[in-house]
Amino acid sequence: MNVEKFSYDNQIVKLFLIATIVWGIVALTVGVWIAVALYYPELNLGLSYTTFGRLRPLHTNAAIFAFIGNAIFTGVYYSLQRISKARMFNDTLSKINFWGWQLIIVLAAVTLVSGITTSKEYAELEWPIDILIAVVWVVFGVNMIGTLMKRREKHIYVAAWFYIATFVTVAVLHIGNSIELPVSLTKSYPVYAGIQDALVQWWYGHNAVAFFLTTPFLGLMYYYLPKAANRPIFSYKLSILHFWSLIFIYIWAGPHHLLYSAIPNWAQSLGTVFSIMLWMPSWGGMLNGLLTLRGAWDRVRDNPVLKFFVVGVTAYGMSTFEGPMLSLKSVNALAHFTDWIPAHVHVGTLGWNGFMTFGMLYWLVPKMWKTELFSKKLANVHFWIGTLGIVVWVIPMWWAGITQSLMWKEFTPLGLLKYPNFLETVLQIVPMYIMRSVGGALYLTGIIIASYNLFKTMGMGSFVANEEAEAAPRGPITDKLQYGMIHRYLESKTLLFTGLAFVAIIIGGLVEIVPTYLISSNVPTIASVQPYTPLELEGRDIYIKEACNSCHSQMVRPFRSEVERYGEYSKAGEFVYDHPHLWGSKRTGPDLHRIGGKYSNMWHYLHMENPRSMSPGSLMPRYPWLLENQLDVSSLEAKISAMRTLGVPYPEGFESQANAELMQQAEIISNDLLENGIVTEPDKEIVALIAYLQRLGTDIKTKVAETK
Amino acid sequence: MKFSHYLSSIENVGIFPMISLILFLSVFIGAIIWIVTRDKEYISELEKIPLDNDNFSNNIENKNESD
Repeated sequence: MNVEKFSYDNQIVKLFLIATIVWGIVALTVGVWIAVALYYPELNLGLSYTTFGRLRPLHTNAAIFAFIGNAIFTGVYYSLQRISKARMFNDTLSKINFWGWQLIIVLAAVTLVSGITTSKEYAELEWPIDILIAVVWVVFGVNMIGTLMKRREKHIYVAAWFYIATFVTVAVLHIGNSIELPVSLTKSYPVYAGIQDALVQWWYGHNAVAFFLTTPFLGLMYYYLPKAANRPIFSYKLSILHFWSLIFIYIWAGPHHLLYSAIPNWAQSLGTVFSIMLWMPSWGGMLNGLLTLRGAWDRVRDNPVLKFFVVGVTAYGMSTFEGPMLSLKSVNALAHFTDWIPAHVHVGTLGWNGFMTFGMLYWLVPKMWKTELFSKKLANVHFWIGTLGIVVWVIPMWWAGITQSLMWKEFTPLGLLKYPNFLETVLQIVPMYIMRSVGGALYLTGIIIASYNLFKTMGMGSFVANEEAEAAPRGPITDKLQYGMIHRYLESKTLLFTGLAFVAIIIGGLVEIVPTYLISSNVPTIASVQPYTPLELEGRDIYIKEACNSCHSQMVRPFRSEVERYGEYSKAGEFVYDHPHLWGSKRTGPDLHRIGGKYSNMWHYLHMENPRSMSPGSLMPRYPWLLENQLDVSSLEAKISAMRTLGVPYPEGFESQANAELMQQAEIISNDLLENGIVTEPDKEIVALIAYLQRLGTDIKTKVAETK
Repeated sequence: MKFSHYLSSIENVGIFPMISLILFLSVFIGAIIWIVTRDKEYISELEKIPLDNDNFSNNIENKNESD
């Protein structure tokens, strides 16, 4: 038989592997830092760069795209070569993938702490970085598909299916969610507004979880679990069935992030139904993983790799049960905006993604450095400290979420809110916040132990950058009729398969989003809702820059307890000029949609200077720089004309008057502050922010006043 | 909003949900049919891919060592 000699590229795997460990430590350190900041707001050291609002997106982006992203590349670059019996398609593309990705991470870190953000969750990076991400991601895809096309193995193993679906869908999601109109190099507005922006954002956000945190890791599970257990997967047939179900169903479930919000009811129901359906394919994957170990459970006891895999897959099962449960409207009414949601997310990221990654690293390093693991004992310590960390993280947050939500909703026998002061419900759960940071610190300790253990292992062994291998070339398929033509044909055509996966996910996406653009009744217009004034627009951009939406929602749900606490529930038509929407997903502080007119300008001024002067015990950080910083109006004209391009009805030529109008409104506010004994220049950032806050949610009140 | 006009000009867009339902069901049913009609040998060939490959590399390593 004709046998070809070639070599596997281990060097690229090594680079990604080291990046995984380094970014893992960074991401988790920032996580612990902000966990402490939630009960110790002075931790920002008085700097704008280190406030919770700016570090929270840094933590989520670092955890998802730096730590888990590099772990995906590590796992894919190693396994894809082996299941294809081929070297990666092109070494240069591999290098561009690696260095490009690290460049993106560094740019993300610098811009996010500087307040350069789109405010869209898990897609906070501004447009130049978005373009870079798209380019690097396509490089990854070309490299992967090229490898599969030149493979020597006759079949495409199921893991590669998951990798292809990951590539295709993340590309579509990223591009679809990042369609934005640049104002300057560091600022853009999304083309969508209000409920459409929210639907697109959570179509993206939910599927980022699906296709960045789930499908690639299922692919990794299908390769590394059989390797570590040294036996084939429990059921290959099940893997195929749950693959197709998963990619078809996942894409529809996004609206479950917006239950009881102002999006149309049919979209909410769609999200719920598909979330429940999603439970089945998810558990198909989990059971397939766990049952692979049937008859080999004794090996789990003394094999750290298998230990990590078992807890990882179990965490996957838990969070994919919790997800559908949380998308039931009755459960969601209790859980949404509370700490239950971060608890749910962290079962997935710490348990599933983290532990699958660690298991994979403990398996890969000895393999690639041709040695034994430096210390099995330390790996076991890591396993237990990590597991304990997850438990100490998650359980207090479940507790905190339910406690706080019940307090929000509790009425006295007289029909008044029992806890009308939001702060009371926050102070109640501070002990849980402290426990959560301990849990995070334990988990961080675990990864530091792991890095010591892994680097020691590397030191002991000898690394082979190019691992020699040989295999027979893939001949033409001659046995079509014998096995059934269609799938064999499909399987042999990598590009065709990629195309079908694309069709599958694009249809789900279109069906969810297109109708909201078509049916005008989906967004009932409210005549009194007007575009923001120039000063309010600038104030809104400060709100975005400081990421106030990390802790404050702008979505009063139609519950008696919320209408009583905040005011009239939010309507779709109120957000038609909101590029982007700022609904938020977590209420660490109270909702702000009806904040306009609730407090005086002076209250806001003093509250921003020091929240504890107005609300004793408040856990919000101080924002003294807003009082000092000059408002940057250099791109005001560009902003107004960009907004008009997006459909906001500013009259033609408004740009030229915008500056004068801005100063006029600013002087009214600074004069009002002066009357209350506060001397401030009208051109400070705080004035613009106050203007925006005082406008929030007031348009429909105007209407009520008029009709009266 | 302006952007929506691009999409609202799609004719007969109401057919989208029907197409997607039919596509989903046909792929799902197709996958089941494919699965139940596979013979054991073929499946076992597939599921051994990650394991086979490793043995293969090991053979190479062994061979190199014996050279």
